[in-house]
Amino acid sequence: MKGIIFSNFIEMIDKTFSPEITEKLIDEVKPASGAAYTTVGSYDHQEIIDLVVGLSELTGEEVPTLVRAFGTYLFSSLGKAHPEYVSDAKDTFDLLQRVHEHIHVEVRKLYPDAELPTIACRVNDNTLTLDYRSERPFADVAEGLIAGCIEHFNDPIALERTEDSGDGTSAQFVLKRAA
Amino acid sequence: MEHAFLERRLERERRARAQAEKLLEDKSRELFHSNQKLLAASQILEYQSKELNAILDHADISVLLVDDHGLIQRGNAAAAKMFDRNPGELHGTRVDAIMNCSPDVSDLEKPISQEIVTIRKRHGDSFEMELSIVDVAVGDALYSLWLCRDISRRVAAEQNRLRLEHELAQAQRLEALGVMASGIAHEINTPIQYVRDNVQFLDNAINDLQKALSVYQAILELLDCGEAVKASTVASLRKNLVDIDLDFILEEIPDALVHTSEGLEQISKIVGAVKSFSHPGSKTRTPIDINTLLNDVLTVTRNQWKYVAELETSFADDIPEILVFPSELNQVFMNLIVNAAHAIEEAGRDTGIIRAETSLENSYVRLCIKDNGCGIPEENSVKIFEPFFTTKEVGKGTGQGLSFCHQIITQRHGGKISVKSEVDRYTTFTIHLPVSRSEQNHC
Repeated sequence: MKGIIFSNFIEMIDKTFSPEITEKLIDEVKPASGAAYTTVGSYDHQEIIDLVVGLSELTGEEVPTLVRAFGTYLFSSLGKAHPEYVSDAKDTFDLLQRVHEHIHVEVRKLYPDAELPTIACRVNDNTLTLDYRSERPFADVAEGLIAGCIEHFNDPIALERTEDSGDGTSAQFVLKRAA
Repeated sequence: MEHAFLERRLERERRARAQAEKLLEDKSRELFHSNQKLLAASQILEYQSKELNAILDHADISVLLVDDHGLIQRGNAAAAKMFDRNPGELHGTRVDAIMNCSPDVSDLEKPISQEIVTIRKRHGDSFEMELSIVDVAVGDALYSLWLCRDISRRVAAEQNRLRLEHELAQAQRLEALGVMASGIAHEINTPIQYVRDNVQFLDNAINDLQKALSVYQAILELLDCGEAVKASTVASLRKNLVDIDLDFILEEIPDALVHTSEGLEQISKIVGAVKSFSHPGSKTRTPIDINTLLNDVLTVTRNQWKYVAELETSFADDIPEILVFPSELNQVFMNLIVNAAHAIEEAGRDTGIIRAETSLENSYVRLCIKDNGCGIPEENSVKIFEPFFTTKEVGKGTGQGLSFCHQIITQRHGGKISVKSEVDRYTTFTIHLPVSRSEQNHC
């Protein structure tokens, strides 16, 4: 998994909780990489799972809640790092439809070895159905990213997870725009 | 924050930076190697492109790459030269603008493979061209590849070859006639001999009859004048009739006339056969009675076989006229008959037989020339139709005869020729000629 996810996760803990919590978490989880993450590196995705579980234990927050919150934070952070992708889109539906065909294509140019999820969107009137498939159990991150997107555009959209594989590797999200 | 706390974070950042720098170095090295590979690939591509251009520009064939709108996207130097265009002028030109040809290319079913068309050039000259058009895919784009070869020199050479072949065949016929000339002269001489004898007899007989008639005339004149005919005159007349042997003359004159007529007819037949045999032939097929043709050759070659063989013929009378090149078939029959005579001579037979047969077999006329000569060993049977194959002694055969026969029968007439033989027993050459033969291009 790319380092940008890890460094954003550490950054989120610093900002949302505190640098002390971050250090304590690293002390307790003891990730193999020593948590010295660089955005262009690649690390075992199990480290982030261990960190999330450890954070949940430290803070008492549910893991899914933490992961979704991270997704929302990640959207904001990536949007700031690469504003062109966000500013080119007119709204949530537009941006989500660009993810697989445009944004992932650009990601692959920078990181040819990136293992990206599959995002398939269908739009019907005011409803967008998004199918998420991944090798990794990050459907909650996806939900958080979608929520971050809706929040960014301030769209009147209700987000619902209608299908779930149970292990977080696939899910279906339905976004209904208020008429 | 505590100092130790900050030191710890700083240390982690340093390690992250070291990792990033290492990654950057690795990426830079990877990029360098990729660039090297790209450069090498680019050089190879450039070299291959130059190589391809050199091949295309020096190829003795015009190559045009035409897109699906009919526009030329690429043409080599030979194409520019062939179609009177400057190099570079071909690009973007419509292919039908330069392909002014007959038949029209658009009328030909594609893909076209080695179709011969006549091209009219920009300045009015025309030449014959071999054209192939194949579809090619370059990536996702579809093109057609036009390959055009100027074959005017080849056509001229082919015409020259055909002319030489024709002249050679004619020379061979005349040579064969030359070889057979003394035999033919002998064949003609025999009937001339007895025609001359008979004419001599008739001359003598007429003289004798004139003498007898003059006595009769004198008696008639006396009777007309009312004078008595002396007994001595009548006795003289009787003696004259006995002297000239009138009964014999009257009996022999009709026979002499019949024999003279037969002799003249035989001479006429031989002369006709020689004339037919030596005819240079036409470039188109002629409807011919194959029995007559074979009979003529047997007549012309009679002196070649009559001392070694008896001739047996069995000619079917239901054979229709077929379209052939008569002078060429004459050559085939002569070769087979002379070969048969040679085989019998070689075998030293007392009773040589040459049998010539014709019959109708479905849609073919079947001809057989069979002899009871020395035969052909099995190992030679498969080679006898090959050019220059001969078992005859030096100077007696060039090895071209049967090869020529095979070519004439198969290529010129669309027929078949085969041989069956048994050493010291027989050889049979069988020819099948199609009855219905349209003027296809077997020439």
